[in-house]
Amino acid sequence: MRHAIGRILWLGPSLALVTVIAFVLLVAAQSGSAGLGTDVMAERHLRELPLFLNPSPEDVQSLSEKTVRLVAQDGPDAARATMTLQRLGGAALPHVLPKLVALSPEGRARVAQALMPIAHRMGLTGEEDVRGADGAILFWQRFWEDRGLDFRPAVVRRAVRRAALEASASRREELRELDTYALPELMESLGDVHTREDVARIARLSASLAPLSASCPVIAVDAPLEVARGEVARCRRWWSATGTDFVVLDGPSRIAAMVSETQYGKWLADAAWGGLGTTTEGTSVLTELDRRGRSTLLLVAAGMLGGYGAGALLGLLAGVRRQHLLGLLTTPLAIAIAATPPAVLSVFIVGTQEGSGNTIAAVVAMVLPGLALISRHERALTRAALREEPARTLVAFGAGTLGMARGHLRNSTTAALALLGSDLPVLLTVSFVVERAAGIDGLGAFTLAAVERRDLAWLMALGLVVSLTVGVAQILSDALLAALDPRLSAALSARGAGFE
Amino acid sequence: MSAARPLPSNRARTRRTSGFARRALARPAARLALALLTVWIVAAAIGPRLATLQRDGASSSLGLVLLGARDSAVIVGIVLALALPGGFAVGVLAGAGGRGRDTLLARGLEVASFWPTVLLVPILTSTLSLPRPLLLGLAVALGESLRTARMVRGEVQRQRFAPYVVAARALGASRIDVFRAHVVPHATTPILVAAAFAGATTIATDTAISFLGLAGGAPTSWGGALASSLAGGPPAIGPLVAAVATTAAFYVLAGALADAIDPRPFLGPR
Repeated sequence: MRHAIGRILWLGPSLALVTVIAFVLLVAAQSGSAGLGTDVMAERHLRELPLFLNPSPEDVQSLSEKTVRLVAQDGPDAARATMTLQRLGGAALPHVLPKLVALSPEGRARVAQALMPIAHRMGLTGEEDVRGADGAILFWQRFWEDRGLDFRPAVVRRAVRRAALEASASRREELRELDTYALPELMESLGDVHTREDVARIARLSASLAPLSASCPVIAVDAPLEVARGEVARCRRWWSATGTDFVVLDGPSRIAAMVSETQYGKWLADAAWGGLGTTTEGTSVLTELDRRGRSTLLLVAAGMLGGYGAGALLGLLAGVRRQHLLGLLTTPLAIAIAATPPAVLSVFIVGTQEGSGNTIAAVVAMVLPGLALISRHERALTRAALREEPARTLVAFGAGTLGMARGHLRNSTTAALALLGSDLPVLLTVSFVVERAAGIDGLGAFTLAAVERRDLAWLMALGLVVSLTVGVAQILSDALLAALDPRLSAALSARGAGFE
Repeated sequence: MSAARPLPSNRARTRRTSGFARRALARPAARLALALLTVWIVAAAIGPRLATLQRDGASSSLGLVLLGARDSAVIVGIVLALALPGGFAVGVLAGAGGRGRDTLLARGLEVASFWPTVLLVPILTSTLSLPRPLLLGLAVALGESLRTARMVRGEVQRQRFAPYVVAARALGASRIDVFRAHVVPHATTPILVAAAFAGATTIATDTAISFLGLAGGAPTSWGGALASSLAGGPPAIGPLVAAVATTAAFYVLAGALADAIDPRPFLGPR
């Protein structure tokens, strides 16, 4: 019991280590791929983050100061910095406009002009209204004098709440003039999508969100619930990747951002709060696992319970009746089945079936390799058990085949049990092969496509689920083994000092 | 006082080894398996040269068998070269160490065993730019080294408290001597079984990975030929027979070696 509890406690750190190693490998595999997912910008932004630790996470303040410096200097990176500044939009204004006067006259002119597209987006002016660099400087100075007080959290909160309650041109205009400064509040107000009222609220907010991000399109008031939910999820993914570019990090949020503003942190947050993450096709990993996992689970369970159960029984009988027909036939048959590649076996079995018979044939194809392998192990273990003293005593007392089999059932099932946990990954590989041969839409087909797409979220989630299942199966099989064989439990409790 | 060293003499050791080989090859099936594996190794060595001498070259059934023998032998060789020493070292370290080291290594083994080959192969393919046999060998070797390590660890832990080990220690033999004379020979035998299983697993994995289209296609491997045949290509009876025969030979040999480890007579009902 103590050993089992220890194993369960170790499972957490083991899984964490698995995700870290898998993440490193998958990110390395991804870096070579050209294809990006649906949210190209978000994904590109994500790839620029450090892997596990971000000692100096960027926020809107640091980004604004950096880009303003680059634009003012007019160096080789000025064009890129101008684009970044325009992307930061209204959120950058409280950090840029008060410091405009501190810049050199040339730098001030460049920054003021670089900010003009933001003014157009905010609907503050047409291009013809502002002439030249001096006009731009004057415009921003006046803007900050007049509207600086609007760039406060309380004002934004009120504006977003009003826009969420009722759609009107003036309320939309109010939010438009705040530009990306309203993004954190807008994203928080999106909330969950369960009812038609939620869709209506999201439709009203999406009108203000859409001009700020291509990942957050306008949602119609009469959009189906599923569509609205999907669009909100897509918008949230974008926000999860780029959100800190629009907020100020200070105190605890800055410390948390050292971990959360990394590639691993983003994945972890997405996995923890977003149904194990989102596939590159835009669907929830949890939904896909639920939809496709059933058929794979059926196959793996069939291979494990059917194959190992029947194999244990067959091996036991073959071991006891070694010189009888059963014993003589079992060995060559088991070797022939075990030696036939699973791909050939499944195509041979599944290929002869049509329609619904495919599932049954696939189950048979899953059961056979397990049956063949376990019956061999079982037979060998039974034979070893029959060499022990208790077996000799049973023979001396004239025990028959069934008596011997019954007497050793408990000891000899340890072979199947010992392999229960460790063979699970092998069974998963076989199930992928069988699914492909039988044309079953299970985890196999989607995983193979995910490998092609370098779908990090799916592969990480699948690895995590498989690891958890294997870990639990190993603990279970060890606990069952210890329960069946008192010698093992005694050895586990006696284990302590090193080799003496 | 000089320490007693109950070490077996060289002659005794040779006698024990030849006795083990005799027991393992006592059955005709085991001898046939060994002969088949010898043919496979010879085919791997000279097969590609013979294949080019054929009229249809590598495209004929025999040509595919001969070329595939080389491919599978290279992969199996890589697996054995990596998995056996690695698994043995980890198994011995875990089995002979204290609770802390054992727990750490055992949990490490667990972590490494979590990922199935079907996910590992494409990830390694994308991460490392290595030739296909080496990639496949690496992926299979990981799983096989874990199996070997588990077997060796169990055996070492069993031997640690065996009466003759305790007796040797009581007679003053050093830990290293006891380890070399008693524990290592016992822990080495499961490696032979693990090696035979590794050979069988490697060939089956090669076919599965080729069938799923992962790790790139290799027209010269038995798995690649079978996969292309299953996908509607020309029939690959030769590679199929060769793959099944070689895998079966590995299984038979593994069984014979496992039986030879325990020399006690079978006493069940006949």
